[in-house]
Amino acid sequence: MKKNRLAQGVLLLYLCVCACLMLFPVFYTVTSSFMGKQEILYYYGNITKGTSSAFLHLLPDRLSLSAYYEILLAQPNYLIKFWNSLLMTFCIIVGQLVVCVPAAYALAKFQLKHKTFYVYLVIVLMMMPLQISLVTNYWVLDKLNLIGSYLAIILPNIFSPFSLFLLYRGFCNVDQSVIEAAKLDGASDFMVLLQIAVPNAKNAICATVLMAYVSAWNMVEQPLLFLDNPAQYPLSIFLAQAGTGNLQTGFSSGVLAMVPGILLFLFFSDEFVSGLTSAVVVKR
Amino acid sequence: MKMSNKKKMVLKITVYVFLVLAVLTGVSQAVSRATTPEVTVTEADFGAITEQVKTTATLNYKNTDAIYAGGGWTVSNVFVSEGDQVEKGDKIFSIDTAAFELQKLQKQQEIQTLNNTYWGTNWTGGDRAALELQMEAAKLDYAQLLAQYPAGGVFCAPQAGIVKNLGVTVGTVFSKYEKMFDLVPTAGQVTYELEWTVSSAAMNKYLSENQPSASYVDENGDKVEKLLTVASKKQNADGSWAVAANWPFDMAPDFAKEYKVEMGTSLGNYPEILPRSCIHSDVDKYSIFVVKTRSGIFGDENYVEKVEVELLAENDNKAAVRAYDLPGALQGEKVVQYVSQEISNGDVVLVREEA
Repeated sequence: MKKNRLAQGVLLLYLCVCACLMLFPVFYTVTSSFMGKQEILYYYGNITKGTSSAFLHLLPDRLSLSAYYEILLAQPNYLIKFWNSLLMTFCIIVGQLVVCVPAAYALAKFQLKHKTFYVYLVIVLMMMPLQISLVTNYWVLDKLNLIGSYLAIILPNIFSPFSLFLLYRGFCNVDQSVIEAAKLDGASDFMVLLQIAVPNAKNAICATVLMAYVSAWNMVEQPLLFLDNPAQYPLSIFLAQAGTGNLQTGFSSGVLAMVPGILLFLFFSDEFVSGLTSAVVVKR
Repeated sequence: MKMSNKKKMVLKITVYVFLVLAVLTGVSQAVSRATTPEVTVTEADFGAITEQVKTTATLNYKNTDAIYAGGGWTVSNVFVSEGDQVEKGDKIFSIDTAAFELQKLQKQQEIQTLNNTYWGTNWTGGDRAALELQMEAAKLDYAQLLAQYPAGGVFCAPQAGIVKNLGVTVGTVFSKYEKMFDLVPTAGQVTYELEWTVSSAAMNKYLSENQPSASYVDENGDKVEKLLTVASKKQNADGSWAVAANWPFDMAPDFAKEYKVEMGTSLGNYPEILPRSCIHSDVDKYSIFVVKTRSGIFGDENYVEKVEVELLAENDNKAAVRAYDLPGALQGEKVVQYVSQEISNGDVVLVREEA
């Protein structure tokens, strides 16, 4: 009993340390976003010059909203980038649902030849680093004359092996007998998908939406490669380059970039965990 | 599908957050548009710089006889009007005789007094001789007074012609040798000329190289321009020059119109000529703003770069310049001509596209 308590204590301590490590960048970004320009320059000026490391400065000496004024009022470009990101992310998520839900359902519930091969193919594609497909994607998009448009970002991201796999595992957990009962009642495959499978795989779909959001919201390589005009770049590109330029707005833009993710997670938090669990635990 | 209270609250917050961000986007775009200077640009051009003098010319009759007053006359009645054609001996105006009669009487009395004094003086020598001289002078004045006065108190045309520039109205008082009107001879063709004044400094410079031109605005509002042939140059008492040129236009002269004269001289050809409004002067330094484009995280943006220039030649509208750092480098550059608000080196600007 005593040994169990000690183990639990160690585990709790370990989890607390992990939680702190996970939350520290968020906390650091939020507190730094309230620093004035001079304070940022004083503490982090050396980073931008690349001459030295910066002194860790957690709490602002004087609270300042100048960074928020800069990104929310003085310069419309930050918010325009925010909306660019949101538009691309929304289109990618909707596109993934439209494409991956029927594909995953078919893979999970239809009697297909070489079904296992297809599943392994999806897994292999999922395991492949993104950078491998960048060149071929560029070639295809160039042939389609889509380089420089938002479609160049949206189309390749719609076909996501990870989302397909997550949904496939979600649909696998839908009770086959319920589907067969619906079919006996005369429901078509499409009706079964919409009225039986999708509501039953709701958690997996929510988890897919969240994962697709994270992936699309934070993408850097694809916009850099497929978009010609920096005015079209999403917020993630600015955040990636903020360290070399305006650190102050980098912090506040970071906070701005967190907002949709936090809201989405809060909305789907209940479904998210069970959705992810369904991907690894298959009911028999 | 029923939504939990937590979901409802998150949804509500999401809606509010995005609404606020949408409003802020609109506001910040409006603020940015209002605070970013807007500029109109032009490009340096090859060409000549011409220095010009613009002035207004007076339309005159070329062959005109001026008629002057013979004495101190007060006009009592006028018999002609502007533009009337008169023959020699025609009545022009009558003179107020009351003033003349008074002058005549005074002079007669003066002569009589001198005469009485003369005869009353003893034959003593010196005084009598002086009185005799005074009396002769008074008689001469009297004769002149009579000679100045037209017969019957009416002034008549000394020759045939058209009455122009009539400066005679009832009550006008002329002093001796004052111009009263012009008589344009009717015999032969009447010619006209444009006359204008040029400063002595500009006189030789402008007229030696380039032919002056005259222009007027016709009934349709169009500018009609013709080159002038200088007919005469005459220096005035103040040193300026009165220049006259033959009537250049095909139409009949219209005295109601305004005629503009332009004279210019070429200051040379230059490879980089800009409108004068592009040049900024600061004490003895001249500069221009050139619009450059840079690529940044927010896309391409236009900003202005201040370039110090040497002023090679200028007139009212244009200036020939040369960049100190890079002569000839201004060709093809977008040079700021007009700005919506003050700009300084490095400012981000919006370039207004010309229609």
